[in-house]
Parts: sequence; structure tokens; C-alpha cells
Amino acid sequence: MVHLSSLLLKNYHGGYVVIRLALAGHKQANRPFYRIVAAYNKRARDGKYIEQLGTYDPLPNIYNEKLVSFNFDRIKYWIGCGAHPTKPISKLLGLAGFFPLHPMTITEAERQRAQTEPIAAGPGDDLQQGQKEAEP
Amino acid sequence: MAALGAARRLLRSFSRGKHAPKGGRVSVRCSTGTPCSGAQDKDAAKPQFTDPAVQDVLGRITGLDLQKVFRPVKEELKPPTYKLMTDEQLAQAVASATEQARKLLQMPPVLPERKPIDDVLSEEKILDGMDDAKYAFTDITYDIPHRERFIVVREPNGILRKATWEERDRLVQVYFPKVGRKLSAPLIFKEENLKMVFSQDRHEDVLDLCLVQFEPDSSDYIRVHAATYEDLDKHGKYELLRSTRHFGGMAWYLLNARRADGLIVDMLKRELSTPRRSLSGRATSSWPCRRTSSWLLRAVPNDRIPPPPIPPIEIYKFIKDEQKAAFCSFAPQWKGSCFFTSTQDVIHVEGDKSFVLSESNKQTNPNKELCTC
Repeated sequence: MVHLSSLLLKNYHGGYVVIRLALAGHKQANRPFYRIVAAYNKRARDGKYIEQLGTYDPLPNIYNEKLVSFNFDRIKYWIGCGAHPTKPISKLLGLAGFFPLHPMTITEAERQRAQTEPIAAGPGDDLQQGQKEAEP
Repeated sequence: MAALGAARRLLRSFSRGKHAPKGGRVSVRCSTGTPCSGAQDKDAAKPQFTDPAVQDVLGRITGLDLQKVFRPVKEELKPPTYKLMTDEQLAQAVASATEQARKLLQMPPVLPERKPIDDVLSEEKILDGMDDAKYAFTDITYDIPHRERFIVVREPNGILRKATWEERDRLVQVYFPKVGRKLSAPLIFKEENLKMVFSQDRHEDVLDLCLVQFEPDSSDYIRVHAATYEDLDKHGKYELLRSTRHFGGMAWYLLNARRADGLIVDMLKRELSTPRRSLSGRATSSWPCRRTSSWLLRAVPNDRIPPPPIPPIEIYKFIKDEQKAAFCSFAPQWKGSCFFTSTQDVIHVEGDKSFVLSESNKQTNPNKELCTC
């Protein structure tokens, strides 16, 4: 494994800046919470970042909402500086309306629909068959 | 009966003739026989809560009881500190305390109820069924006012809409927490709990909590305040709010609802002169009885005060003893005049007697309490 030391990384700017999700509170099992973060590409996922740009809570609350926060002012700055957003960030920003919709969001929605429809139809058929057999 | 009608017409024309040019903000005349209908057409000249004149008047009637404003709040127990001061230093300390009390007594805003937000930004049916939960997106940019913040919600059926006011309040509290505000409203604001708290005379605490918890134009805020003011009006407990920041709001609410009689009587009980006049000055266009307001409004030289429309017996009963002599000294001016009460009884003053002529009873009840001095 290659560990880039902190001294080197301070002066090493061959990498680029990304906007990505970093897992916060990573010592807590089964309770994920992400920070939306601008960091250098080669840094650890949960390591030192340049700036925090928001949060994302993947578990819904009592009002059935997944809370996401974005600091749009600073996101615009970093994108203007040439930061690359990752796939989940692009999806979230697409859902928020800041970016156009990500194609994978649409694809996932279609897959989800395809999955739920046969399941809804399936048990209904079996029940009907069962009733027909039971009657006579 | 004829004399009664004539007297009434005389008085009405008298008040209209004398007071219409001095009416100030009031530009509408009452039509004959309908004393209170003029109140409805005054929208153009209607004073708002935020007018500096209105604020000034409300501030003055709130009163400045330093003992009550700075009464001990439950804090950590400390031994009291004593300072040795000269008279001048004491005067300065009192002045600075008055200044701070004035800041503490700053009235919370009275705003109309906010309209619900109902704005759909985009509808994408292709996203239908993508997830079970909604996504709530908040803009965390630091220096934009909370009212202008973008808070949008993406529903599971693909609709991207602006968040409702309740969602907005909640999410702003999550990301920019305000001290004392809870995410969900405390149970004290439910109807049954409010009644219990009112029975314990803790209206001021309820109003303080409400101020911290809700936005001034939210429906909950307006509902709680209305309930509190109604309860105060019903039991006549105006004194509870007297030197607090909520008094102006209560006075405004009662005046707009045209039910400030109890408040006026209560204030007359305590003081006779300035507060009543200042109340009337602001109340001109929303006061139900133009006669009362115009009587109160007139610039009064000390020796010639016109007869009041409220029965002088009531005033006499409620004023302080040291003011009774002064009251008696100018009451005989009203000898021989007729004036109306809010219940449409006529009081005819004759020297040291006054007669109450009631239309329904048509009997005279001599009342000898007035001006026996």
C-alpha cells in the first residue's frame, strides 16, 4: 500500500479536487451519515478535506424525509475552480434540480418500477388460483 | 319620546359638526341613525400596526413599571449586591434602567397570516416510484435571510416542489438552530393545555414561549395569541400583561375585533387622563363608537370638558379618590346635557342628580351618587 505522507501532500498538487460524500461518524455501526465535501482526489474517503459543502442523511426521519443540505454558493465556487462531482453527488444535485437529472436516476427508477409491478401482480394471481381450487 | 329623539339628533349633529373637521384621519361621516357603519369604509385611512404614531401610542399605554419588568427571573441563586450611590447616581441608574426596560418592552410584530406555499418547480413522471422517502434539499449558504432560502422537496412520484411553511421552519431550525425553539411544537400549545395554563394565570409565559417557538406570521402563532387575548378579555385580566411587551399586541387585537370596552374601563379604573386620550387618538378609525372617540380626542382645556358618553357614574366610581374632587368640579358643566352610553341609555345630568332614562324601561332612576361634593 502506498501512503502519501502529509508533508508530501501539502505540496503535491498533481491531483484534482472532487466533490464527494465522506462518511461521518464512521465509528458508529449501522447508522450512516455523509458529509458532502470538497477534497483532493487521492485523499482517504474520510480523511482531511478542503471544505465541507453540505450533508446527506440516507435514513428517512419521522416525516419520511431524507435530509440533504447543499451550500450552493461554495459548490458553484468549487465547480468553477474545476472540481469534479462524483456519481452520487451528481445524482443528488440532479434530484435537487441544481443539475439536470442523472441518467442513472431515471434508469434506477425504471428498474424499480419493473421490479414492483410483477410482484404486485404475482400474489394476486396465486390467490385467485387458490380460491378457484378451494371452491369446488 | 319625541324629546329623546330630538336630543339624540341634536347631540349627533353637535358631535358631527364639532368633530368632523377635527377628525384627523377620519374622513368618512356617519350616516344618520347608523353610528357604527362608518367604520367599514375606512380602509384607505386605516392605521396599520407598524405606523410610528400607532407604535408610539401603544408604547405609552403599555406603561413602564420597572418593578415588573425587572422582577426576579428564576436564575442561579446569588447573594444580592448593594451599591452606595448619591442621588445623582441613583437618578442615572434609574434612567439607564428605564432605557433598558424600553428595549425589553419592544413589541413583537403583528403580521397577517402567511399564505401557504404551493409552487411546483418541475414534474418528472419518469422518476415515479424511485424511492419510498422524499428528499428535502436545503440551501446552507450562510448569509441569505431565512425567508429567501431555497428549500425544495422531491417527492417519490417525481414532483419537485417548494417546501411548505412548516417544513421550512423545521429544516431551518435543523440547520440554523435558534435557542429555545423546538423542532416540533411543545404540547403546551394544544387547546386543552392552553386552558389549564390560563387558569393558572400564566398568559405571559405562554406568549413568551409562543414568540420563541413560532414565526410571527404563522397560523399557530396567531391562533395562540388570539386564544390568549380572548381569555384575557373574558376574565378581564388585563393587568397581567400591563408592563410587558405583549400589551400593545393585545390592545391592537381587541381594538381590531371591536371588543376593547373592557380594556378601556380597566384603564379608566387606574388612570384618568393621558392613556385614554392616546388610546382614542389611535382608535379613531377602528373604534366602534365614534361619539366616544371624538369625545376623547378633543383637545381639552382644563376648565371646559365636554360630557362623556360613558356614564359619569362609572367614571366616578372608578377614579381614584384624589381625582374625584377634580371630576366633581367639572361635572356640573354637563348639567342639562344628554349623552349616550354604549348601551343606548341616556343620562341626563341635573346638578347633583343624574337620571338614567332607559328606552326599554321608560323609567327614571335618580342616582344621587354623582357629585354630592
